[in-house]
Amino acid sequence: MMSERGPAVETAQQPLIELRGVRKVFPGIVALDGVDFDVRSGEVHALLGANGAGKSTLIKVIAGLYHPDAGDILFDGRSVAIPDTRTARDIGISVIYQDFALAPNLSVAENLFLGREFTTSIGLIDWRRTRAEARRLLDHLAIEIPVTARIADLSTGRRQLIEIAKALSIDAKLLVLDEPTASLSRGEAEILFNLVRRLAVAGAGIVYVSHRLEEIAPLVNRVTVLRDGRSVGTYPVGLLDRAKVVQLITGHSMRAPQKRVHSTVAVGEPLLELRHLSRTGEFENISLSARGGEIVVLTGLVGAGRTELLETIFGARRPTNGEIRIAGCAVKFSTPREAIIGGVALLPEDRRGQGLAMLMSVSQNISLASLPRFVRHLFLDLKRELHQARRMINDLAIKVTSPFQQAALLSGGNQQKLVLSKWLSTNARIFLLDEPTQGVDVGAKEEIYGLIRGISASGKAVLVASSDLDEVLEIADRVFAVRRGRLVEEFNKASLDPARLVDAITHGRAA
Amino acid sequence: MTRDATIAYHWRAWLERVDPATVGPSLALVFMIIIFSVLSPYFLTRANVTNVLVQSAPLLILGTGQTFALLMGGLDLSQGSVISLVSVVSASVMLEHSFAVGALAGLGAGLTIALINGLLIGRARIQPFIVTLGTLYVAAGMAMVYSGGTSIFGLPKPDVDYFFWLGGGFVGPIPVPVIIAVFLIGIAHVVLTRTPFGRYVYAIGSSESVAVMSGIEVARVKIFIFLISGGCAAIAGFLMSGRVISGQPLLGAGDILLQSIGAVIIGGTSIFGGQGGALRTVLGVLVIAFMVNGLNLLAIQTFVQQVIVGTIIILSVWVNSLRRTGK
Repeated sequence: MMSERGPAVETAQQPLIELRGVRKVFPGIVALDGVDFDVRSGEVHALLGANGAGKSTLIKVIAGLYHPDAGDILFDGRSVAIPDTRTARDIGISVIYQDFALAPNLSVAENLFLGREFTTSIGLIDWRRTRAEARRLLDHLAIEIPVTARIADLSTGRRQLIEIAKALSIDAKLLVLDEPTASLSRGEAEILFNLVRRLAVAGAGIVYVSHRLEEIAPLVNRVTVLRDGRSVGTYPVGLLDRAKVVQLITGHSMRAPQKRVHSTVAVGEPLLELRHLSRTGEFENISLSARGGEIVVLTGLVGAGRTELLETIFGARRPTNGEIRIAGCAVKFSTPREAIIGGVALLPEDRRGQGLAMLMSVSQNISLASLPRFVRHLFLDLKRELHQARRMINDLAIKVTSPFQQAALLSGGNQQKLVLSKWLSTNARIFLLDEPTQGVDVGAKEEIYGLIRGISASGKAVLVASSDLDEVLEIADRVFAVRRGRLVEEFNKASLDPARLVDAITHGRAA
Repeated sequence: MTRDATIAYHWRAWLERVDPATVGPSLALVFMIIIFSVLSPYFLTRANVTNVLVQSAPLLILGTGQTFALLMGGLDLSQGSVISLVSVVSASVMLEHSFAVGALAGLGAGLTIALINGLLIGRARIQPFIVTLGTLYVAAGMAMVYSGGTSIFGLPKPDVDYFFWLGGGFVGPIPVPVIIAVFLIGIAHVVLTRTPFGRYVYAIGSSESVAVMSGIEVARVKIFIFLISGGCAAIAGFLMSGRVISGQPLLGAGDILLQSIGAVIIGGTSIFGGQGGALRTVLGVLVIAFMVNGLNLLAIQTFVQQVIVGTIIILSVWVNSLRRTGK
């Protein structure tokens, strides 16, 4: 392997795919700001970057899901347009996402040939041929999974292998893997690595998106790092070490101390306290506390267990072990309702699925969690409800045409403010905010930070889960690095060093 | 803000409150009334309108209950069977005891089915479609078993007079079942628009997980929704029995259940839940009732009527979905 890696880098070979100055703008946010990127045949090319750096957008441009606003894409030396995923597939690009596109109730063989079934002369599915072809494909890749197995019965790792097999069965020249090992066991990851190596040797170009270069370094020829929608350089893997990678990803190795003024509210007794809180398979032995007037941030990679922890505090899940204390009293919430009565609010990560009743109006969403407050003589006092809505719209500067506007019609930032105002209308003292600025444009981000500081300054405890490094640096009074369901390191504002933080969430305790 | 901008703002706010979903059925109703009154001189007479209202009163009550089920994103298929069960239980108990006991027993039987629906949907978390499909069979079968498959006639005086008065009597010029229907619709409208419970119905229909995460006791709300839907069916069944002063084991076996669901849909309440209301259902019931009546007056046969009603149901949902995707 080592001997093959060297020449691949040095040969001035024509790239398989080349992106030149690709730019992609979403309303209010520049996702890709003139990115150059190329992959050669026979090469494994790692694409690294923090959350929000533009990796997903770049992949989606290659996959034909997004259309670049500017820049060129060359495939096999020819300028191409990739208007849709079908075109991408036809020219030999195959993308494997973290969330799988397999039909869980169908067999391996059925999934491999979904949408292009072998049929007999009278149009029925030719099962014998389907199974034989599936077997041949898997054998070729040395994947030992029965072709009649149901996808739902396979482990995540095995499903990933099936995904790759499926991608390869359509003669992919370029294979893009998005965080492929995020959910794999070590053994499964090893199988995957072997497969990737073999494919590269066979001449395919491979883009490997990851957070953890260390893990994949032996596999990789070159590395490109994205930051804030720009490429900060492409390097042969041999020239990089861990410190250098962290510095490239964060751009923060020599960052000046934070300029933020400390909140003026005195930090009091812990409002929220977790003692050895565990939930099997999700998080383990979490002990932390948050005081009134304090913003505590949990940061870690996707899947580190933060969302599960917040939902457990909120009563949507039950801990298997440990204790939650609010203002010094142990509590056991078995439903979100009990948690809300106990003064807890959760701004969920999934705004559409859990945060807002999209069909309801702005005003109805604001009062949804505090309706009993608006009851007078058995009936809702609609005037008072409207008054509260107007106050919130005003206080939080929510941009709406009227309080009767449907929540679904607001922009991401305004929707997020709407969820916040729903909780500000309750008597919550503890605010759990899960990725509070996800899907929110840059301007609204700043406003939401201001609101979070305001909530904190009014004496409430704020516990934020965030994987956005800039956000962590911006708002945190204290930071816990979470990795695989455990707190690996605590930083207070004075000791907060971005490079060490990134190191902690990706590799565990810093050396 | 300039004056024009102010007016534009209020105009927009007003437009957002008036749901365009009601525009279609309203226009259809007006259009239909004009056509029928031109084609048939009898259509707009007081006798005919009264007749249509009396006939549509049970459907109004059913549709009102059904509205709750659809608003939460569910549906109640057991309404027709509840009518049959209530009919035979009320009549036979009334035969043995008294009007009051018969009424209590009949409505009680209907509410029991409703409670079973509610508990299975709310607590056991089974799909409303499945649960009410099951109780559709169970209640229909019970009505047949209980009555031995025959109608129950011969109710004693004065019970039979009270019974008929409720189902077909008049207060002044106004039919009693219409009064009851209007009263129930009024309550339903107030409950849906002015109580936390009503708001929770919409919230669950909009997104059940959002409702849970907002602290709403979803299971309890669902139980009450199906109690209301089944309770409305029980009242409708009681009134329909009164009108025929007998217990009929097949009273709700016809297409009244489908009309109930159809009326809610034609009225513009979303089958996916979260959007709609009790007053819209009134609109839907009136469209169906006047349509059937008008076609009858024009001597168009029942089977053709079915084709027309079915077409209207599909058209109304299609128009609504066009509006939705047009956004």
